[in-house]
Amino acid sequence: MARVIVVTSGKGGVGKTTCTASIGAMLAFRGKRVLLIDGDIGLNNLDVLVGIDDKVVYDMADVISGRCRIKQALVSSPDIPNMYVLPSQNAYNSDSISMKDFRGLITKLSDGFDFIFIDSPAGIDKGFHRAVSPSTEALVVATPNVSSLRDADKVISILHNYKLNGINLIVNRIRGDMIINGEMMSVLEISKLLGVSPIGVIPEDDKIHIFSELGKIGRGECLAMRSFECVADNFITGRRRLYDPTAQYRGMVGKLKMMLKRA
Amino acid sequence: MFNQNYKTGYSISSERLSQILKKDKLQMPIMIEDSLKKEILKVISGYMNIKAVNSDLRIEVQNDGKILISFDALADGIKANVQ
Repeated sequence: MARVIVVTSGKGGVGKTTCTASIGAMLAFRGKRVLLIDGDIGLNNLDVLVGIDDKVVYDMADVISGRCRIKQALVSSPDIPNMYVLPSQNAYNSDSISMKDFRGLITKLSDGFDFIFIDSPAGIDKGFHRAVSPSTEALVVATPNVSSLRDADKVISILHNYKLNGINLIVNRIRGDMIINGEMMSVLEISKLLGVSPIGVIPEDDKIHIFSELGKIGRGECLAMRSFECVADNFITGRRRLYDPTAQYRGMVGKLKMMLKRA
Repeated sequence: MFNQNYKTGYSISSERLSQILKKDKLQMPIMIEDSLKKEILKVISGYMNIKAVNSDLRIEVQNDGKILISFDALADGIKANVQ
């Protein structure tokens, strides 16, 4: 049986889809069978980030309506072994897929994979509940700013009403130099305020933007990707090894780096 | 580079966020109740084959501890009230 993990946030644009694709890729590189499901029906972008958008023929709605078999709708990633994507319907009407149908679909897929990640839509409406309902765990993605953390807190409160095996947190787009100067909340502060312990800390990294533009999320070398590797290891081992964003700004060299960055 | 040795001091925004979250916590039960009410309304309206927009559900906890659920609906021009 797969671990079914819903990736959610409340606020849009915090990096849910990027986290879904990146962690999925890192787990697949570690030999795990991974399925990424785009739960953002109508505003689907997971296929674009993974770079399989030109391979999509059938989608989730086609499977549910019986127009194709599940295997026909699963798209494998060209250069990431063991990773598949189930694209969502590229149509306006998100009501076309019911919660019951979605749960049934996940149950059928559960035996064939080690990890199933559901990329939830932003907000706490029907699409969010549809994505959470078949999940066994939740991964809340937040950026270190007040609006994102406020929404994350609401989402966590709602998630506590579901019977989940765990709620984990990823703090995305963090900047060590701002934490040292007290201009950005530290991971410890965020963790205390939300009452959830982080499974990953991802630094702000320009290269992630380039990879997502090229549809190459999960491939390529950068600091953020190394942090995602760490998250994947944490998922497998159950440990909590986290990236320390302040490390590179400590000591004499660190202070110099910070001065140059601010110049 | 990978450890848990974070700065433990407070940032400029943490106190503000803390206040906002405290306020939100007070409003959370109302938000959940509203959301629940919408879902119950949809189910009842669906069962009675009337539009949810034409109906209203009131949940009141009375002094004797009884919960009064009142459902008002307008279907085909006839107003109905079930308690």
